[in-house]
Amino acid sequence: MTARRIVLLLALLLTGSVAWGAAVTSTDEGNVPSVVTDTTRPRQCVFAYLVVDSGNNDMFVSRQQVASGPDETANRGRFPCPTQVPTRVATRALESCSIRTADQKLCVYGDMARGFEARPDIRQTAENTSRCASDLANYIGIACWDAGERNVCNVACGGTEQEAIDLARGRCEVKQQKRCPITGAMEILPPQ
Amino acid sequence: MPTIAALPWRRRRSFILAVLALLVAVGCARPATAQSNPANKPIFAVPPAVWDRKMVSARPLLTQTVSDFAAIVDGIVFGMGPAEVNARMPVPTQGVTWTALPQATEFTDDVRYFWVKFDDAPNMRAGTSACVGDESYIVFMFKARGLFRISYRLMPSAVCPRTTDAMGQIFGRFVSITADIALGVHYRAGPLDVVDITDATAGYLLATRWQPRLE
Repeated sequence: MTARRIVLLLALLLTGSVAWGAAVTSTDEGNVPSVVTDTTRPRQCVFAYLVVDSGNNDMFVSRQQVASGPDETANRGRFPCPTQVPTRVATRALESCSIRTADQKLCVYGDMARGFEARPDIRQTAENTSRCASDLANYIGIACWDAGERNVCNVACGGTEQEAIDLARGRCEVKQQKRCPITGAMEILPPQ
Repeated sequence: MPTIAALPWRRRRSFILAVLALLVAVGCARPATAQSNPANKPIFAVPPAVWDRKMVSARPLLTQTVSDFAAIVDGIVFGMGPAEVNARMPVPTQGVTWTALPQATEFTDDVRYFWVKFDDAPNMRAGTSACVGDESYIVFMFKARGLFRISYRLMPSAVCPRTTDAMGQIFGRFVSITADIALGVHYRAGPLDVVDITDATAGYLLATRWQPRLE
């Protein structure tokens, strides 16, 4: 093969892969016009809850933002979260699931007790360990094992997606004494 | 045309360096699609709420309108008549009028419907790229005052034995719409995955679910 032909072939390859990369980006963004947002403004406190429809194993992240007080200051771009969270905040998070299922009794918090598969009841789940606060973590993760009809899960908070999943998986495997290969994670803060 | 071997050593070295630089550039230009995604379970994000400082009352954080819903279903909005909805289908069904429609017997009210095969309504895919099965279909349900529910019914088939991914994509799109505008509900009905999208003002009709009749 001649030198010129090799260079031409490589140039074609390069052009093709650049175009491919651009197409993927375009699809990901859905051709939506960009919105100008003030990304330097500190983010308000957000509690993210993971709730589960135990009838069909749908998982929901429900984000509850809390307005900051006038005397509060942000730390590393985030306002602090209250240390006490009223039950009604968790109840509202749970409603995100119960209004979207055929049987609202099937909606439970994502962090489940051992034996949930035998007693699939909300009392076998905990709201406080099913939430993560934006001043302490970036991601909320979940890990589950498949108990046949339903997933049995545990929740953890992490700095990265991988960390949240690893911590949730570790928590699930210790608590449930099973391998927990079903995993998921979401950012605690909603997209701006 | 000269071959590489025929080039003098200096030019040959420059050529090899240029080829290496091009190879590096090709490698860098590829998107990082091969990176492993640690999460394998979809999580549906519902519209966030914002609480006052004392966490006494909450309201939706986002302001959404009917247009946000209409954007997913090609401009269809609740309240449209059967003929209006039918006219928006790529291949409209013949004779779609209120009086000609069959009754939906799961409701005690006078509710009527028509349906289209999922594959015949690409404008109603709600962004799903996953397979849906060739027997899957979409039902439009009407009260006398217009459309109040769109029901996606995904049926696995030989070519698409798993409709879970499509269900997740469709349900996920509608879950992102505030429940004050359109309420998405997912449930199983026999072998079907059903995603009902109902007008939030439909009152007691909201709670009615469909189950396939046993033959």
